[in-house]
Amino acid sequence: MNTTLEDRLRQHYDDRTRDLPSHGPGIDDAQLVRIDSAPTSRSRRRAARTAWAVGSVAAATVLGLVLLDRGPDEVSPGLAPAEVLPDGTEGSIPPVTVEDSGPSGWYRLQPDLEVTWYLDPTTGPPSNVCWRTPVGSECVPDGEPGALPLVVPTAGGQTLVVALWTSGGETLEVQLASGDVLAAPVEVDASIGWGVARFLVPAGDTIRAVDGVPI
Amino acid sequence: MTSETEPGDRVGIAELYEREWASLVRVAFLLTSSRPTAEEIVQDSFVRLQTTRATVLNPAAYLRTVVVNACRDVHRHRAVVDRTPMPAPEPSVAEHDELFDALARLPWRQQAALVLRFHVDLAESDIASALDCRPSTVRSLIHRALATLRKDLSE
Repeated sequence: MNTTLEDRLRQHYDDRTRDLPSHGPGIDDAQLVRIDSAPTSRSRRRAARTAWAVGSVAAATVLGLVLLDRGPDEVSPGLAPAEVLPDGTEGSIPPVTVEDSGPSGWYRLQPDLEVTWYLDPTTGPPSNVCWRTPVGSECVPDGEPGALPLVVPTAGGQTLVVALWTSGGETLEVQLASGDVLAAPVEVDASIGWGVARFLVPAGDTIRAVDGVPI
Repeated sequence: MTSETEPGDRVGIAELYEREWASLVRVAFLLTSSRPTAEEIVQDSFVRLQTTRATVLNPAAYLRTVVVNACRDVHRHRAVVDRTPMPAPEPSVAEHDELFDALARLPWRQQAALVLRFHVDLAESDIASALDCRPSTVRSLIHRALATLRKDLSE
């Protein structure tokens, strides 16, 4: 009996996915997630996303339904960078991860924001993603599920939010600890699919969630 | 799927989650070869559906599009990650065989079209919606992919 290529493909896909779970984390699982604890680790962040996604009433209550169901008062006009990073030979490298012991070249996402990726060959994966602005820089591990969204301080008291941009929308929302919701235009770097939105977060307030995803 | 979700429609999303989660994870897994990444992408797609302020007329198609786009972004990011090896397929579910290798060599859009056609059994119009292209383009993608596979597998 001849097996067509189409049949082989179906069989191949079935074989590859045979061991995947048949259903997602349930609401009971989500209720076990302590998303009110300080979500500093990546695993907690991922768990919080899971809880969020299943629409658990418990999870939503903990995080504050009011906070999420409340839309932004308005979309703030696009802010201009207060300062820009100096021009130079850096800022124009391809967006690639290089083997190095630290950040070397930089890829410019905004006039005041550059990022880079490196993999330390002495420590191995995960690689690191680094950012720098006129007011500082930092490197964070870029393992699963990824370092995004990044909340990055920049000059002029502005805050840049960098997120993987898949929605095609034109604005990005952030929820603040105070309960306020801010929205700002997103500029997307098409080569890497990252979007950057620029916010003026009131003094004393902090960003708690980006587009509904706790950080 | 004819239902629609209003912003904040948690009951509707819960039902959708129950019905679509596994299928979406399988699609994402086939397109990323990483179960954690696949599950993360699908969770994020539900988050996006849950928090969108627009009325989504076809939530299943919306989720599929968001998942496919996210997989494409993962692929794109990996493609520019120089000298960082792709994550190895999970050994329990993915055997390296000639078909696996041949599929991996296809352009990403052709891979996605094949998965949506031969694993999810979507119609061309639905695949076109997920890939943001015309149905005729879907036919071309699948035709070229199958031709390439036949050639590769016969050699």
